Amino acid sequence: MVLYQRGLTFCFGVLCFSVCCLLPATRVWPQESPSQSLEVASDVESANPRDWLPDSTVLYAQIAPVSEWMEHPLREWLVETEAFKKIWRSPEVMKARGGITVAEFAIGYKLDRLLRDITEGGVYVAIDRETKGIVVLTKTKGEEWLSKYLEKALDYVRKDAKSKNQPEPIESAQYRGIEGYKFQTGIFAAIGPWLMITNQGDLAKAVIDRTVDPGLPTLRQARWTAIADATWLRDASGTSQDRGTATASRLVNFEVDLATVRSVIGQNDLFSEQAKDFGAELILGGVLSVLRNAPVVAGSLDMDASGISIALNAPSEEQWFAESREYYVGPLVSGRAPAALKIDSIATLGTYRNLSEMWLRAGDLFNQNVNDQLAQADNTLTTLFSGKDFGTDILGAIEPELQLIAKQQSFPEDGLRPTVQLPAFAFVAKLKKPEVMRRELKRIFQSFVGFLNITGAQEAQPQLDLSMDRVGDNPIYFAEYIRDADRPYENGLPIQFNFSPTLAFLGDHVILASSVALARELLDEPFSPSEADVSPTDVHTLFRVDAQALQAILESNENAMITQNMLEKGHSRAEAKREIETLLGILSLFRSGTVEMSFQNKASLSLRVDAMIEPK
Amino acid sequence: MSEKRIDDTHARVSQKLSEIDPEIAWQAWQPSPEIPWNAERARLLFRRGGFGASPEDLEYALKHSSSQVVDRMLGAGMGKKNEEFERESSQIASSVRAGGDAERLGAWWLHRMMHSPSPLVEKMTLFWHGHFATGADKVTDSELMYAQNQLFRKHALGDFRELVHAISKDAAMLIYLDSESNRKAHPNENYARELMELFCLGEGNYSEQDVQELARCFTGWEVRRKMFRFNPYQHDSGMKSLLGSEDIESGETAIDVVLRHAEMPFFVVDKLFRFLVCDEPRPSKSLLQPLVNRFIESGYKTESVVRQILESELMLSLWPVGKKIRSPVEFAVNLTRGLDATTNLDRLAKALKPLGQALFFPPNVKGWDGGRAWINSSTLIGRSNFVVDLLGDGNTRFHGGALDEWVKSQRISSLDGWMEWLSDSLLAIPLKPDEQLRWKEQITSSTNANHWRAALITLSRNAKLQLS
Amino acid sequence: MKRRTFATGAITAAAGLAIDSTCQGRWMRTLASELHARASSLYRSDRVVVVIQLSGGNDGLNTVIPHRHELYRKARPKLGVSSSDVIEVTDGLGLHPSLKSLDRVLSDGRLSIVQGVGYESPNRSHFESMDIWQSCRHKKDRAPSGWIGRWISEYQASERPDSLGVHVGAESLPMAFLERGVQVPSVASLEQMRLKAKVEQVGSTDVGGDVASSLMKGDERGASEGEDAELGLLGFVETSTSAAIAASERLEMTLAQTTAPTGFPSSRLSEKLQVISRLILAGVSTQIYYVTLDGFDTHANQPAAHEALLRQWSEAVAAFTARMKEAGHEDRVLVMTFSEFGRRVAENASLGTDHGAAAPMFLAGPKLPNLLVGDHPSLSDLDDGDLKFGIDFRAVYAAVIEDWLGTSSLKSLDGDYRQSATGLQLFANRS
Repeated sequence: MVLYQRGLTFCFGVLCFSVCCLLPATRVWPQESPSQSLEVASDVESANPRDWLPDSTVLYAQIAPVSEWMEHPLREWLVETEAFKKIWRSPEVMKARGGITVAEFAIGYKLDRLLRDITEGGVYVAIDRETKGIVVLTKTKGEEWLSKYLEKALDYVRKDAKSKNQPEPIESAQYRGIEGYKFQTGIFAAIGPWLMITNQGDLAKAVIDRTVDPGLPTLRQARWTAIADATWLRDASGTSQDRGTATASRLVNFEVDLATVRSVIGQNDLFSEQAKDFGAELILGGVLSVLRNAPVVAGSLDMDASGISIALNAPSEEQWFAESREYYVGPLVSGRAPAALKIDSIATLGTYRNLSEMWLRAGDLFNQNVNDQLAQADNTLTTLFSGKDFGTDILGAIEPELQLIAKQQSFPEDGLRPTVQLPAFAFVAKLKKPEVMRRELKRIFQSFVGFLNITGAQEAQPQLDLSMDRVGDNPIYFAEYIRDADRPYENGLPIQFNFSPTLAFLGDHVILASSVALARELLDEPFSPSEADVSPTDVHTLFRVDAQALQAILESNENAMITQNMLEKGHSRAEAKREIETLLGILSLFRSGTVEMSFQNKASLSLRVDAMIEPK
Repeated sequence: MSEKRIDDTHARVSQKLSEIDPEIAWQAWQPSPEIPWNAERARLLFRRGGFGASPEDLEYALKHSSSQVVDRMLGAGMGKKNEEFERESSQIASSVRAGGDAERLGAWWLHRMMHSPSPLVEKMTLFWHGHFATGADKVTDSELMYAQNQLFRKHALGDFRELVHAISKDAAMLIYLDSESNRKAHPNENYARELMELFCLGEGNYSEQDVQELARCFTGWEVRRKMFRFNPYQHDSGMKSLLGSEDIESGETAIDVVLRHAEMPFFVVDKLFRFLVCDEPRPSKSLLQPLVNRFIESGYKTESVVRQILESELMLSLWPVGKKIRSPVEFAVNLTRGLDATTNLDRLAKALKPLGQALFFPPNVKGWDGGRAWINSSTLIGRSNFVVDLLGDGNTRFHGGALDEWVKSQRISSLDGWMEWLSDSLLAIPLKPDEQLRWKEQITSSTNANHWRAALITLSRNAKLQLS
Repeated sequence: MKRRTFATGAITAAAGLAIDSTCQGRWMRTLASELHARASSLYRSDRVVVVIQLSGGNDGLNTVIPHRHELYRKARPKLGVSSSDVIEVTDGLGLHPSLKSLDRVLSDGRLSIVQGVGYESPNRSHFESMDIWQSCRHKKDRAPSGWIGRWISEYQASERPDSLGVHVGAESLPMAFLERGVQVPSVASLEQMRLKAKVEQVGSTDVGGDVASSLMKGDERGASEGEDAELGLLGFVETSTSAAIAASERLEMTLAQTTAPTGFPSSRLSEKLQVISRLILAGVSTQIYYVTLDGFDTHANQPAAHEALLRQWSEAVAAFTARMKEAGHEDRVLVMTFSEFGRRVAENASLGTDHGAAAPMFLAGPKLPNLLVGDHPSLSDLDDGDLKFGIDFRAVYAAVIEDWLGTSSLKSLDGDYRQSATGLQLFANRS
């Protein structure tokens, strides 16, 4: 209850939009249906939809009233942005706005006012398994208000149909003293100050039954929702409020009965024991374990002046992780991401992943087909790495705390530049046996460059020149592409010139970079190896992207993106340019994005996505 | 006067090619009240001299004369538009070249074929690509393929002899024919043979001895660092005789000897005739003679022959209608241009492969055989699927919008009107009344409620859509 | 004359299809009987070869294994397959255990292992050796040209609705198909042979109905003249269209009848063979299909990789031949497997093997008189550490082209290998 009163002061962009779409349906209230007949009017006034929804509900969401959304500081920010103005003035939106104005005139009510009043006490959405229906409950301004405008709206719809010579558009029927209306596929009913909209008559009845008869099993009694209600899960999803930012507001809270979803979907790929897809396992492995076992998943969407945050939480238990997935969560679910490197970048990813263990456990993790392919890959990779066993010697050389960095490269202003400019990438990990592995890796790197040169020569590609240098005590090995002296490169440099494969060592750490400049920067900005050992947070995976840096690299490739768009969509240059500029415009609204995943206290999986907004 | 004409407007008495008087065939076509300049002739001209008429092309054509249309197909008076187009095309080229993938060059070229203000230049570039066939599968370097394509474009309608000299030193060509190194001790006969057999003279006009001698002339011609280079130390400076000429010094002189062969103009003109006029039957030498004379008089300018063919009595009498099978590229580009459609060009380029004509990937040095060789079960199914895919691709737009909108903008409101429009603008040979009926039945009984689409899809399975 | 007969036949067939296509049930029945009729008339003469190319160099010595041989055990101390694991073929000679799915083919007498196949002065480069196997020529002094390409150029009749050769796979066309004037389709997936938007093609086979009438009128536009073209261009395209639609419909029918053929494992090779099986059952008149399976270049950690590849190959071949048997085509479809070379006798230090020379070829499908053809190459008499070849691969090709397909091999192989082919006795004597 506390949650309901405090937490439900919100709205959410997409849902707000869908409410707009429902508008024609929401002006359907008849005059002759005042709902005084409701016996328990006072209860209804303060009721919680949890007590009205059937226990077969599988998804339950609480959404903030429209007023919260309308008055949110972000709204002011949004309408002032160039991208929004552009969209607002686009022909499609102009047309829709015209239609709305006509309707507003007919009902005599401004749209935003109407939405505020309808949703004044909050919006609740539920999906029911038994009836396969969806129901939306909104608490309106008041019972009297609702009956008045319901009547007006129904009147409008009937008149409209008559003027077009269409048959009576609304069916109505009574059920336990409540008048229900059917217009197109929607069923509407007023329950005191509450407006109910659903697509299934049986679901409408089930809700009405519970408003009258408190003895029926309700959502509040469902076992899964009790778990979802458990304090720890609430806390986990309530981090935004815990952070105590005064302006933060919860826009959406939702919870899903995962066990039922599993039983409906069945044992499909997502929930199967052995993975079919190597990439999916590598990225999601541990998450899949949780999804296979957890009874519920709860989530929320918060918004404050600085950004939007989406959180997903599920309970997790140590025994849910099969031994084969220890590579993902670490022994006793102790795997943590390394401390983030402090370096300006487009994106960084820090995570725990024992790649060697995954490679060697492939037999348990994957089906026969993937394993056959891995066996062949193992053979090729081992050949490539001059006889070193890929799983044991190469992947096994590094600790499981991994870090990936992407950073924009700078190319000389005046000189030749690659036609397509790619970011530089670096991979950083700690070596298990630094003394031995430094030498080994150096040799492997050298023969790898030789290999690239031989295959490159067969394909008439440019050649690499191998060099070595030192930054302080740290050796750095790198290979750079050589320009062909006879070639004018009037079209700019080929794409290969984005790369200068580099291997560097910093203390116990190894750096593999696609560009020597990025490797040097990492060496110049030394990170303490001991810092990486102690993870200050409980975070298992942290991904950060800097929208401004991302935008910068996209802008430097704007021409290439435009021609790409012309080729892919058959657009003219002008059309392509417009589309790319809109995309960059939307990106400019954001400052940064973060995805954070943790297996907290070994008992909960939480996944957060934060988008920070670029202040004006 | 009417006796001196080949009037084939109604296809009543399609004359046999062998019975057509060469003098009449190649005289300039003149409109008359009975034989007027009209849409059917304009469409034929655009199909043969370009990649089909867009609605805009047709509008222009009907307001101008046939020779003005040919001028326009060569880009005359398109100054600013041409400039804009070249800028746009070179931007696409630079993006495609940056990736180094020769397959994507096809997308760039298709963009040119669809939008170039001088479609005849692109058409002839395609002709030379098939004539001097070089495949990126072997050359691998997309830059060389691009350079070769630009070479074809530059010489597309120019002096044939200059083109032969240029292609003989083209790196992509020499790599394709294993002539990267050509040493005195081991003259490589590959290029020498193809120069005579496939590029200039045709089989039977030279001896094996000539092949060996010509190969010796080319010794020292090499490709190094992706560029042609003459290595005088590997050149065989001994006595060489070729096609009856003695004492040939250099490779260049040898090429001139080949080009001076009396069969050369016949060989080239015959191939142009088959490219522009009809797949079958082969024209007689006497029919070609006036064109050959013109070719020689003009200093072997391709443009002179191409122009004469396109503006001739034989062409505009409508005799050639339906006598060529559309190549996959013609099929695809005619269709998109005719419908004023734009789409994902990368996919379009890839879609040509199963139809048998992947640009920059001819099957072998002989190029595409064309004619009946285009047609088999797999390519026919491919052509129909091509239409289905084109309509199904979310990126396909018709004059920037949906098909329905576009149909409306053409002031077509009924299925009959749409069928008539499609038949007129996409088919070379009109459907007969019973075929019309059956087509309509197929459309209306189709489960596809969108009859505009259904009409196109059912039409894609009609043999007449394959003819030019 | 022959041409006209063919064309009329095709038209009748297509017209028959067209009429019946209005009624689904009858249509299916008619197609079935049509298919059957075609099968009995065509299949005796239209034999099929499916060529499987194992790219990278298959370790023949660990495929057909002289497991008890002292020198084998000595050369393969780590990679050697033990006697208890092999599938015993004859005394002392066994197959790799991952080939167990070939059991049935083996016991039915439908497998031949041609031992010690290779060629004079073997080349150990993948590319060079593969070129030799595909071109049947030693030197690249002429334009690329392959044995199947040359065979097609000799036997492809222009009216044949389907290409004599088809490459199934997404990689580029193998050199074996290259030849001037020959254009061979590469079929990346079955979708390429199926008409899309089937729901919309109701009655579309009707196009065939028009052919007869256009044939009658020689002066019709699109008709061409001259003694070489009895059928004008329009007539030709119409006939071909009918044939294409008929083939596509037969394909649809086999697809409808056999809901995803059981027994085909999920692997890339299996998918390709599945495509071929459906084309064959749809009555496509192609005679040589070609597929490749890459990955045999096992320089390091060979056991798991080699086992996976052999399993993929044998399971796919077993499923394919079983499907052919089930459909009654097992006596007209031959699967021939080769690799560009075998591997060295001695294993290397990274648990792998390096490029070698002679290796076995495999034939499967029809009844074959001899399980083993030729002798296992000697393990003591080596050529610089490699097995010596006993049978020239062109002799095997010649036997397939002459005795199996019943055509001449002289142009295709650029030489006369008929005598050595006869000596191999690969196939039972043809009456």
